[in-house]
Amino acid sequence: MLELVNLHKTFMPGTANEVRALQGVSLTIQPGTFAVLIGSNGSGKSTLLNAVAGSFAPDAGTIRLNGCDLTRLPEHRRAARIGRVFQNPFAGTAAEMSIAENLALAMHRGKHRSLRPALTRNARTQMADRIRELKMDLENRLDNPIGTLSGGQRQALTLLMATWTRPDLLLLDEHTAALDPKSAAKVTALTQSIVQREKLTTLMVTHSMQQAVDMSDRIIMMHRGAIVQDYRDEHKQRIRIPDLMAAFDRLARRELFDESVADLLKSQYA
Amino acid sequence: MSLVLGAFTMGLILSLLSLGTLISFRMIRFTDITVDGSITLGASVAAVCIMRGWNPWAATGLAMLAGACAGAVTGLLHTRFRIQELLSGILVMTALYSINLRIMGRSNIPLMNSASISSGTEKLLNRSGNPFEKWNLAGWEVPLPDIANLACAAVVCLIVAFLLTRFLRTHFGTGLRAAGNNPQMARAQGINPETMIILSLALANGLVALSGALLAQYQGFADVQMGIGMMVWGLASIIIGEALISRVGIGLTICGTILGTILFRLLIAIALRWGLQPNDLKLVTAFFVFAALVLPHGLAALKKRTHRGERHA
Amino acid sequence: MQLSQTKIKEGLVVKAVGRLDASWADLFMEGMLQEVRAGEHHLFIDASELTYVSSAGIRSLILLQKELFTVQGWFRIIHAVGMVRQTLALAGFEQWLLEKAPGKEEPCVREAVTDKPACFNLQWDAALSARAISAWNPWNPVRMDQCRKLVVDEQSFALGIGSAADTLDQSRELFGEFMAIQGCVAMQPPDEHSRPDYLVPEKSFLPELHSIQAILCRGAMSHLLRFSPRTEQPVHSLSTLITEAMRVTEASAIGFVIAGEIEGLVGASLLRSPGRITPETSTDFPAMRDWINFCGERMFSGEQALICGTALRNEQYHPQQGALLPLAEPGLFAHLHAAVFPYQPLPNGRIELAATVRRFFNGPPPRAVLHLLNDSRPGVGLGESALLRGACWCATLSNPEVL
Ligand SMILES: Nc1ncnc2c1ncn2[C@@H]1O[C@H](COP(=O)(O)OP(=O)(O)O)[C@@H](O)[C@H]1O
Ligand SMILES: [Mg+2]
Repeated sequence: MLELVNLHKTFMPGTANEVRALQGVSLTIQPGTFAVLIGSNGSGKSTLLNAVAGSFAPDAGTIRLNGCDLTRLPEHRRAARIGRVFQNPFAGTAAEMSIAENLALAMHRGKHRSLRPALTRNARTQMADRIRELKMDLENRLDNPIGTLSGGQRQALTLLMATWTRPDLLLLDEHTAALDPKSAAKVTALTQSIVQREKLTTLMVTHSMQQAVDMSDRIIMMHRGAIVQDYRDEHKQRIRIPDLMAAFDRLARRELFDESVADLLKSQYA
Repeated sequence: MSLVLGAFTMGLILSLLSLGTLISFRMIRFTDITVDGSITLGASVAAVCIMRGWNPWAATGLAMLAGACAGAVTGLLHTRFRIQELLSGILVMTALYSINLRIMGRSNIPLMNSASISSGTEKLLNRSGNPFEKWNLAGWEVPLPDIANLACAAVVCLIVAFLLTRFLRTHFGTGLRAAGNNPQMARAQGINPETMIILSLALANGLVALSGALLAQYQGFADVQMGIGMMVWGLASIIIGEALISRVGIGLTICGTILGTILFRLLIAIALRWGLQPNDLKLVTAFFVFAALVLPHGLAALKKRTHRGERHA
Repeated sequence: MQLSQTKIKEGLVVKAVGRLDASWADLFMEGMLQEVRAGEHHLFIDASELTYVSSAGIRSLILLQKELFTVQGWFRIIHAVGMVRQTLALAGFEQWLLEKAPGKEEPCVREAVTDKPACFNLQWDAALSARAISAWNPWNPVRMDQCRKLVVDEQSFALGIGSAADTLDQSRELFGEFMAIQGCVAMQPPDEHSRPDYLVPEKSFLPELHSIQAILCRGAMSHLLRFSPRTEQPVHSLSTLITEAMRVTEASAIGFVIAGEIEGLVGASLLRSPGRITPETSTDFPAMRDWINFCGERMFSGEQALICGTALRNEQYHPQQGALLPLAEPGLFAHLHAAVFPYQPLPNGRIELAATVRRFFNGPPPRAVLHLLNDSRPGVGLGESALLRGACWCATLSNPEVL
């Protein structure tokens, strides 16, 4: 269970470029929930994920995962419990290392890294088995540098790596946004099957309303660093794409609601 | 023949420096200038210890440790105090200049008649008891000390290369390489890239200092100036090695680097033989590295242009 | 596929040049519906240069026929020859194939230009009597004891804020904008996620509404105005429509229902039930944004609106003391609620209010219900809601003093 309590984060405070990226975000995600985060650009979705992953410490607030306080833990210390896939398909793998070496790193995610050989015969068999499931013809290319693969293949491998040892929380930040439509569909399907099979608690950012509606148990909408909508349970089930569009629309309209509108309504809504 | 032998020995010794540079430049991707100071540090520590009558091997080990400390300091300056890579290297290198002078007490220590790590080998190989014994190698008369030096350098180099290869293939070593290749990914896999930078720089500069210690014993002196430009030599060797063996893979990269260093030394020996001024050596090396860094891009652009031309035709 | 239009006395001749097949059927259909939207309900398709018709083309003709049928329109195909003629005849369009258009096929001016909208007298002595409910004065707490139950029967229309919940207690959380005409109710539940809801009377069932604010008008309509874009007046703002209705009814207080194609609506609707307001609640800006939703731009262009309201011309009127609000035209006051429906064509000429309302409510559900505003903010104001074409039923109000 992920618990976020009143998270605040301001970038470049006190300057002209000050950005209040998180303004008191509180959120509890039950174990096994697939939560999707949507919101316009710059609404703070990535910042929220980064805060949970530990890329920076929040200015205020608490992050707890399964009851354990992560707030002050550096990113690499959280990795044992949090799997992560980035938007950039090149961000999640080490390009110049082979597929096998990358996977070996993931098999020991967050564990002690000993002075034993990383690529044992046993490990390679395991890798080949798991990779075969991707049906991307990669099982015979274990020793190729991962940089020679396509973005879609790398993203699929990153996903595999993020979930190789079952994480308490899976963070996906628009991980299909930079892919061509076919690869994106493939990675989406893979995401769904892994999350379902492992019953992972997942927090995914997406721009695709379709994905948000189809994949999630819960849709959370962010705006200006705050959660403005939270559709869950039976409310989530009745949500369709037009409802989400309408919600975005209302947000945009709310932006146009200024003091002058308030005055207008005083004379025109009596 | 002794020229070739010398170049080989020199190449083997300096290949340790190249391996150190390989770790900092290519593995953890840290532009580490400490090298210029830590090679001298290795030389001076070894020289002083040997002069005091230490076992040469122990002296060499201590030199290596000193180098590792210097590297770790650079790493700490960068990671803990957020000083830029280059600047942290320069700071440590500058500090090392004074430290080296302090260690040696003067700017130069000759080691002409002192023991060295090859002394034992020499004794072992010497059957006649004649200190000026020469061996006949393929028709050439070669002094025994040269052969002993070569053998020792080769053994040390082989051991280091073997251990390094093994190390980089362990869980820890893969983590280290990942930290250099993609720090963000490394963090996501639970690796702290900052620790890895400190450890890598310690390892790299340890190797560099080892190289310095061997160099001092081989050349017969330690000099406070001897480190200048060493980093560029290491870089040049790596580049030649990559040209020789372009395949990726840890073992091959390490072999390539060693071969590259030896080839580089041979080229220098030949150039010197042909009348190149030793004083111009660094200029030539710098120019070579420049060309090696720039040419691939130029070539690629050229290739692209001709390709396009073909398609148009 | 190229379409070119010629207006004749009997209707509009549309000449279709090219192939009417799957690739072009959609474009053809769009072009034809455009004409239906513009009020051309009698169409002659000139097929002289139509070289081919496939089943996809036949299908688009059937869809066009369906659309025209709802407004008592029709189309005929003229000058069809050869394979095209055969195909159309076999597909069952035999009786609609004409050799030529009736009359001389002479071009005439496209729109009958009259100075004023066409006016039909329905019942010269008809008048409306109004009743007002006021249990809520924004943004004070609701006086629940003054809430009233409202039944909008076949003779009435009403607008206000209320809820269709069973008991007053249940209603408290559910008060939102509504408009009701002849038993049909469209209402906006006061929460962000809910879509507009609607109720249609069945046999003995008439929807009942607990209202905290409402105007109910009972009686028959005396006049029907039909308006459409004219060169000198391409859009009809609500002020001009109301002024025109006051002119034909010769009254300074009227009740009216308007149905028509939207140019743009400006309005607001509740986001939270006023029943939740307590004396401690803050509803000032910016908290006001959580209570009411302002459109922010001219909305729903191209869709159909059903608007009902009452209006008054009286320089002495004090909006603070009554239920009406100032319109763009000085001295004119009105209260207007609109329900927005997806577009469907209206028949031309004299049409029945009851039938028209039923058509709207039997079609797809309303997209929004809102209180219309006159956004008179200097500079940034969105102005007044306006319609392109449609119908306005109106009658004089016999007791304007209740407003
Ligand atoms: N490291 C940073 N430094 C400064 N500003 C940042 C940083 N990261 C994000 N921001 C700003 O914070 C806001 C939220 O960004 P982000 O969380 O990336 O939005 P999104 O919802 O599109 O993912 C943006 O205005 C962005 O410019
Ligand atoms: Mg109102």
